[in-house]
Order: sequence, then C-alpha cells, then structure tokens
Amino acid sequence: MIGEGKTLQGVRVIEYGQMVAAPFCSLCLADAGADVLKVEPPGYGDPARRYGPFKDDIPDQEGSGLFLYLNTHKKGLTLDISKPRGREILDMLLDHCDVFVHDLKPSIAESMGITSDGFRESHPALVVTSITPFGNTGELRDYRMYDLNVFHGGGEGYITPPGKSDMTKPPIKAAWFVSDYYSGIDAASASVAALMQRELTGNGTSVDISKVESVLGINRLDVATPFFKDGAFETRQTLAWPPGMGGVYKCRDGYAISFYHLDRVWQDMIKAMGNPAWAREERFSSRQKRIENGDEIHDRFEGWFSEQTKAGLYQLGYEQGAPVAIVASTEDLFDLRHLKEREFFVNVTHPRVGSYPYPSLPAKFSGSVNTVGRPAPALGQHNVEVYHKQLGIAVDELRHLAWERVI
Amino acid sequence: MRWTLDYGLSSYPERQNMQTLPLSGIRVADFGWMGVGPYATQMLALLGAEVIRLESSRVMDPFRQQRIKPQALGFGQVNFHKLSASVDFSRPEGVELVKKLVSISDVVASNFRPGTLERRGLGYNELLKVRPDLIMIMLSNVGGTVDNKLPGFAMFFAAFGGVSELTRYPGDVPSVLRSSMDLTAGANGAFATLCALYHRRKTGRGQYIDISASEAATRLVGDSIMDYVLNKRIRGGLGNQDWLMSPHNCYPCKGDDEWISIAVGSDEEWSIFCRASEGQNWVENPEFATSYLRKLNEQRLDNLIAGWTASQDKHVLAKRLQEAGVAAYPSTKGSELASDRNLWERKLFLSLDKPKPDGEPVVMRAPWRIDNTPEPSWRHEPSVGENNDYVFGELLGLGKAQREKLIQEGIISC
Repeated sequence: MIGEGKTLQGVRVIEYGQMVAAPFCSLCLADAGADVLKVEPPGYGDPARRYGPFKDDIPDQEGSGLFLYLNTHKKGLTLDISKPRGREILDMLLDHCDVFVHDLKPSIAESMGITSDGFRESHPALVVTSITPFGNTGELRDYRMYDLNVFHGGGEGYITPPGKSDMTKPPIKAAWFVSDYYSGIDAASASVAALMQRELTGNGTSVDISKVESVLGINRLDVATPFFKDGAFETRQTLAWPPGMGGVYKCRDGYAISFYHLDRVWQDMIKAMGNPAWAREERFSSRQKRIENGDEIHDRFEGWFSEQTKAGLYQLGYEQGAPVAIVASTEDLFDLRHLKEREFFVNVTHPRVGSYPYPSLPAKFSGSVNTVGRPAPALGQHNVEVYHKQLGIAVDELRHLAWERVI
Repeated sequence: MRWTLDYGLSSYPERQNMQTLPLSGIRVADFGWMGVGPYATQMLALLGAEVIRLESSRVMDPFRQQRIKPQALGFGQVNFHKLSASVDFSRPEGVELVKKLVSISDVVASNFRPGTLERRGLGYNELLKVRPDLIMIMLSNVGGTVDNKLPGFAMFFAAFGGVSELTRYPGDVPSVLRSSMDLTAGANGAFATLCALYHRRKTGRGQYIDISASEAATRLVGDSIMDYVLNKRIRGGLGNQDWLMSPHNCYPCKGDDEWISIAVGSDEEWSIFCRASEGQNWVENPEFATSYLRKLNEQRLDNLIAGWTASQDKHVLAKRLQEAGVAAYPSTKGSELASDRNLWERKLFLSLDKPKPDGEPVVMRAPWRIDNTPEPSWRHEPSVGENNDYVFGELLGLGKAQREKLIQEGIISC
C-alpha cells in the first residue's frame, strides 16, 4: 500500500504569512502533501527573505536559509492585498482554495473584512486560520510581539534554563524561533481539524491561534498544573535537578546531558561507566542517598565525562541504553545514526542557491508519499502560471498590475 | 497543482449550519502513557474523539503516580475528557479484548517502546486483520524503525534534537529543556493523526505513522541547521539576543525575579522606543542610531536599559511600551495565570465536570479556537478502569457475568 498519493492530496492552501509561524503552519501542510501557494507583498516579500542566514553572509532575497527552510514545497505569488484590485485577486484565489492561513494583525484583518459575516458568506467552504500573538479577541489582540516576547509571555521563559546557580541572570528563550514553531504546528493541526469538521457540516470555519496560548499549552505540565494544583509553581530553581539525579556535563568535544533519577536508570548509567567501585557503595544505593551525596556524584561524573567523546557517549546510549544524550550541535545532527537511518534530511535543489539537505516532517506515513523536494519559490515566481493560466487574468493586465506594484 | 472548482460539496450530508466537533464519531484506543502519547490523544479528545485509555493494571502510567515532585506531574492536564479501561494485555485473553475494541476504533495510539505492542500480538499487521482501515500512530524517541536503546525522556529529545545546544547564555553551558519537548512530539502526533484521518475520509484507507520525538525537536531549529548547511557555521546560543535586532533581551523589573522582554525590530521601532523612553541616555545617542551600531554596542545598551527597567513594574512598563508600539511583555510566571484577565476572557482554562477533592479543578484548553464548534461538558480525567462497564459492557457487548469472570481472572482489573 506504500506510495498511494499524498496524505493531504488535493488540499489547497493560500498562505499570507511572515517569518516563521504562519509559514511553518503551511509548511507542515505542504509536507503532508497539500498544495500551498504563498502570497507575498510585492517588492521585498516575506521579511524572512532578509533575515538570513545567507551563503557567505551575502544578503540575497532568494538565498535566506530561514526562508528556504520554511517555504520549500510551496509556490510563490506576489500581491498587494491592501490595493482594491489586489484584494479582488485575493478573493479569486480564495474561491479556489480550502485553507487560508494568515498572520494579519486582528484590527487589520477586521478592516479588510476578512473576519466579517459577508466574507464568510462569500467563501462558505473556506477554512480561515489566523495566527496572531494573542488571538483575535481580547484587549491585547493588537500587541506587537516578537518570538522573544511570546516565549517569555507564554511562561516557558521563566523556567528556562533550569539551574540553581545565578538567579540574577535573566530567563532565556529556547533556540531562535521556538515559540513560532509551536504555534505553527498547532495551527496546522487545527486547520486539518477544521477540514474534518467541513466533511461533517459542509461548511468552512475560522480557526483562531494565539501564539502565547500555544506556548502556554505546550508547557501545561510545568507552567500551568502546579498552580492549579496547590499554588506551588515552578521556577528556574525548582526545576533544576538536585545533584545526584542528573546534570549537564562537559565532555572532551562538547556537552552531554545525563538523568538518572530512578534506581533502574542509575544502574544503567553506572553500568555504562564500567561499574566503578565507588558507585556500588552503600551511600549511593537509593535515590535519597544519592541526593544526599549528590555533590560527590557530581564530581565523579564530571571527571568521567571529561574523558568521553560525544561519539562514544552516543554509542553508549544507542547500544547499552545509558541514560545520556549528547548535546547535538547543528553539525552533529548530520552524523547521528538514528537520523541517517530515517533519512530525516531530504535534499532540495534550489536553482540559485544549490543542493542542500533540509530537515523534513518527523512523521513517516506508510500509506502515502509526501516529500516532493520542490525548492522555495523566487519572489513572484508563479505569478503568470497562477494569475494568467489558472485565474484567467490577461497578460496585458498583469503588465499593468506589475507597474502599479499590485503584483 | 489542480485547480478544480468542485469542493465535492454534493457529497456532504445535508446538515448545513450544524454544529459539531471535528472528530465526533471517531474512536481512539489509546496506549499512551507519560507525556508524549497522552498529549497527542488529548488534542484528539478536545476535538471530539472518544479516547479510551487502555491501561494495564500491571504497569501504571508514571504520571498517575506521585513520584519525584507530585505537583509537577499533571496527569489531568493531558488526560481529561478521556475514558479509561483497564485490561491486562500481557495475557492472551486481554489481547483479545483489546483487539475487539480496536475492531470498533478508528485510531490506535501508542508511545510504548517500538516492539512492545508487536510482542503482545498487537502490532499493526495483526490489528489490520480486525480493522482493515485502521490508523495507527506510533510515537517514540528516535523513530520506530531504528533499533536502538537510546533514552526517551523530554530533555534527551531536546539534547539529541539540537535545541539544547542553541539554548544558553552566550558562552555558557547548554540548557536542559523540559516537558515542552514531550508535548512538541505529542503535537506532531496529533497533526499526523489528523492528516491520516482526512486521508482515510477521502480514500477509505488507514495507515501506520511512525513519529520521532527527537525529530520533532529538530524541526524547531531548522533555521539554524540552514546556517550549517549553507556556511558550515555551527550556531551556539545567543541567550535572548537576536543576530540582527537590538535591543532584544529580558530586563529586570521591580520585585523578586521579575522580568520584561523588549524587542526592537528595526530603526523605525527604535525611534518609537526612544520616544517612549524620553530622557534616557540612549535617546539620540549616535552610538545606537542604527541597528548595526546597536548590535555592535549591544552590551552597553542592554546595561543601560536594564538600569532603567529595574525600578519599574513589569506590567505597567509593558503596557506603556505596547501603547507606544514597542514589542514588550512581562515574563509570565505560572502563578500569574490565575489573574491573567486576557486569558480568562479568552476562556483558555476549562472547568471539568467533577473537580477532584485534591485539586486540579481547571485544565488548559486546546491551543486553538474553531468557530461553530459546540462546547461540551468537559469530563474529568478518568481513574484506572473507570469506564470498564461502558467499554466492555456497552461497546464490546460482554454481559455482566462475563465481565465478572474476566475480573476474577484478573484480565480486567477494577
């Protein structure tokens, strides 16, 4: 049964999005086989085109790594939707699509009539997915928030990084755009759920994603639960492991994380270390005792880890089940056996940038083949194909639209 | 790309304007335990699927147990509005019961170690015999096809996945990340299941989906991976900083461990920020006039701003900066959710039908609002085997005597 079409075969998506969240939503849909048309403002396009990283750091609007990653498998259009004819053309596009993903500021979406009953009536089967910092309702809906603000506003910042040491240091955000990715996958799920609902009702609907709520939601175990339970809540300090339960250790060529909270896991760890005599002593025989003597364990572990390599530690985990994970750098990811075996990186050839491996969907579907490897579009690359050949707009008008910077 | 105008609307049932949950009528047999699997099926339950936890009375979900820090294990946060049936599927009679349930289910979800269900005779190929269009979702640490013993906790997904390396103060050690990495894997599981359900709706065919939790984490750093593939440059952590924008950091505020995040994305936003912070010594200072100069002099600028914010209330300052048009927001603590007017107005929190005496009366909704969706009465998280009568009696049609026999034999526990 392998290879029978794509999972989201025939689902047509229009994306009007910037940077990470909305583009990642439609990337997930594209990875699952949907046809995605990305609509960008004429001229500069999606700011992700200007963010980089660029090859050799030389700015190139067709060569930004952020843009290339988030927009593979999509076709690209330019359109100024704030101009009347641009707006008409957007409506024509929406007449031919199933899901419209956008990240318009709620007040702007409202002034454009995208949230109105009339819009809904003229596109009865359309799913409209909006991704905004605080959602489409509430007093904060028009707040300006970057990924940094969303990550901290969603509560994950306050518990990052867990550690006992210096609490005068600020909480930090994870990686570069993590909170945007969280809301992107949530928006993708909700969009498909809305398509399932359409199967039952015949009607399209609106999906409202709040980025801050996505961060809160995905941190519900550490951020929300404790409060509702008994008033105690987690901080960077309370979430730190006591010595004797785990830690971040320096090894010869990087770092590794080990966590050995249970007797069974502790046994796996010391076995991987070659069952040193010290670890078999009575003082380390239970979790409570290990926490009491945690500083000694920490010192011993630091010594042992300092002689290990990441490759060796990975092997101990892979073959013996040692509770240790190397802290993989972006370079290490290309050496990890489990990623190689799964062919997680998929080669995508871009006519201008070249052929490089890109991360793919973390799900393998037995019943469908999804990855097509189409490179991210150049700005306005598919204008003629879509506007002229599919929507039937005369080439003569396209010339005018280009001159007027509508496309 | 095909551009047909036919939505296939003629094939839709005549139920216009009907309100329904997207997954009503879908049943999920849920082997999920701990964080990853239960979060995936929690999302499905919130969309209206009937999710039945299949719990072996021999191996308790660790999240049900109060172990390391009882308050940190939010079983209810990832298991409400589900049902529970307890069955010992290490025994053949238990396996038969599970198969019977699968035969009337649409989805089977599991985050057991790959091979666990297969050893019990509950692998996908076996289950297809009782349910030919079954969707099975298998979540694991690095993917079910990889024969490995690698550990399977959230912080390891972040480490293998490349997130920890990129999360740190500049020059400092990498960070441990916590349950967000479990739930990221679960969110990907929910997405894949929804796609497979849509696919089945259109084609009549089910499928097996194999999801890697560490790959789900790696997706979160794809942009940094691109820096490596394009330039062979290995990124580290920037703390809160950005490589173009400045200021872009968390600054201390009045009180104990209170912070505000401020991000200035362009020179235009910088002039707005300067107007909102009139009188401060960065205003009209040529050292900070452009984003390039601000980035070069970032440390000094950060120190100046930190000095300015330290005496201010984070909520008042954030509001003032936002009103001027600057991206600023307080760092939210879990303890502040109870008084977050915006979140309560948006009904982010749900009350369950039967608050337990020991707490957890409120849980968090799905991270989306879908219009025209009815609001059901949300059920509390089930105790082990709470719905045995419904599942074994009503659904599987076992009479009372049969059920009692199975209980006596220990196949069903109560």
